[in-house]
Amino acid sequence: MIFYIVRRLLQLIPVFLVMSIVVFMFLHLVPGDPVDAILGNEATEEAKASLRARLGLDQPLIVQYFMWAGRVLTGDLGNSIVNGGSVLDTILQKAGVTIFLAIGSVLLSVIIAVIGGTIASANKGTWIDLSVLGAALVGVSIPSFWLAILLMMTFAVNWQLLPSIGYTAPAEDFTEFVRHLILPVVTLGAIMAGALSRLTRSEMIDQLSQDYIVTARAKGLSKFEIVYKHALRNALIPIVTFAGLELGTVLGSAIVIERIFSLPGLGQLIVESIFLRDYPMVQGTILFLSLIFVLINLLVDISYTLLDPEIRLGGEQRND
Amino acid sequence: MTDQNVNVSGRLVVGRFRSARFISGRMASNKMLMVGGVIVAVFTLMAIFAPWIAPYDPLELHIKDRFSPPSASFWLGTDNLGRDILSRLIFGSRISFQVGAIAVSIAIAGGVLIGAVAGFVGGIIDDILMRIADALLAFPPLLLALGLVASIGPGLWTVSLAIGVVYIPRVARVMRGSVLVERKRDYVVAARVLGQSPWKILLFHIGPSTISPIIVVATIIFALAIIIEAALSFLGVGLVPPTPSWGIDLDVARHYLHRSIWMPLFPGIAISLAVLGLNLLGDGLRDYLDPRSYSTNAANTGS
Repeated sequence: MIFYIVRRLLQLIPVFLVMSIVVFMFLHLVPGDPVDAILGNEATEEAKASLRARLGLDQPLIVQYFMWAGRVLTGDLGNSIVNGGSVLDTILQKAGVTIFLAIGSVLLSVIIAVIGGTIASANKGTWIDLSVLGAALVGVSIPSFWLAILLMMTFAVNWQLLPSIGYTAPAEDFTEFVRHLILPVVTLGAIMAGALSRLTRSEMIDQLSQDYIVTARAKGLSKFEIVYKHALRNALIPIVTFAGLELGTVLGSAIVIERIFSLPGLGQLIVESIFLRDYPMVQGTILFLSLIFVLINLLVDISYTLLDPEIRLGGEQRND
Repeated sequence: MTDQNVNVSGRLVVGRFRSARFISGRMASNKMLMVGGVIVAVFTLMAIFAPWIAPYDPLELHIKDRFSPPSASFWLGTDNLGRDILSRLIFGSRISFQVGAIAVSIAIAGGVLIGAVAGFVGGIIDDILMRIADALLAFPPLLLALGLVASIGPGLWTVSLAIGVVYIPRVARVMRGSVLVERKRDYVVAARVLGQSPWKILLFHIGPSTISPIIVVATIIFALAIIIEAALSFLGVGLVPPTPSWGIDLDVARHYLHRSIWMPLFPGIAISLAVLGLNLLGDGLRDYLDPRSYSTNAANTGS
């Protein structure tokens, strides 16, 4: 087991290496001189030279990469071009909103999916099943930002039940914090619930056809007990795994959702930094989010293995 | 030799079992294929014949008719500048499908080449290429596309290029997988024994049998490209207004939610329908082209 975890950790080294090269290249893919792109053409030569030196652009590319990567390894993501503040500090300051949004929507999606998927599987082939499947298909196909706009239009603009945009810190006013997060969390949760309830349904149908269910039925257990106590418990492992992986995907969708609801999170930070051409901030935030994404995947993988030794063996065989 | 016989017979058994079990699944996949195909065909026709179908120029302003609801002269209403929503949708399909087509071409060209080399050459080259592919797959797709567009700039070509590059590793993975499966097949061994050159084998023998999985993955990437383009344009870093992009129109619409429900409604329906159609087409094609692809893949990697 420890061997497996160590091997998975070692496998991360090339992943991090390639990721850092890609993120590093973001600044260098800028057509022409990135300094011109940042400062505009009217900037004085001194200003350009000073920024060039600050970004290390006067060094050869390979030297620049190693200097940058060395700083990143010590946790220094550089400073904002716009206000000079530390990129990492800004990220940590804004990460809370994104984390609340991500965790909230994953939890909501698991709840929706487990209820929907279980009910569908217990009533397989009926109109209940078909409507859950239909709703799931809609959830998979509609873009999150469209759902966000529709929800905002209905609940915030027309019925004025919830605030449409903005954010309040939980320490400041917890009720307002919840009210501001409801629509974004529901948007992301509902979208994710689509794929997750399809998975729940198929896992449950799989479990319900196993021998132990026949035994349970023969013992005279009620349908409720069979579905919820026996089948659901076994179906939960893949469901929770998938939800864990989705937590990473949410980090991507959160960019758009934060923009719509004006939530001051990491997504908003990336988009604003792109507009301001604050490349260190863009690079730092994308690198940060991607690393989190990778680490979540790793944690999910490891916990999956801890939960189910059969999978561990199968997985190792496949890798070798 | 005996080992191979077991493998072959095992695969046959799996095949028979599968085809028996999936008779109903096959019919369902035909239905998916049909519905998906029709939706995609309609959008494709709209994209191609946009100038002839659209009632107005998508950029033409009808200042007197701003925010008008659906009517006889404007079937889906008008937007904040009095532009005809229907015409913008029709031209929007042209933009979306252009981005989709360019992105898919780039992803396929890069992915097929890299995947084929990795799978066919094997060894250290395979290892290096696949480690790089894994690392690129570890990025959330929208995030990587966003970073690329942030540096190479907005516009139809840059956005399509960024999306295409993001999906190269995905195609490469699929391609490598099929090449690995095919490489061990008897006909390839036979061709090799007959002394054909490795590149001829790759091109003329292995190549054709990798087309099905590539078509399927291309359809899925087409759908993803449409969503990502819409998301990037929505964020204001993708295409540039006043281009009739569905994502741009949604972004404009969100500022006028109190004025018009038609502005946010129709572009969203267009994106969802196009994506739904492509997803159905992809799922249907996967079942239709090779219902056994997954069982044989699994069987081969397991053995």
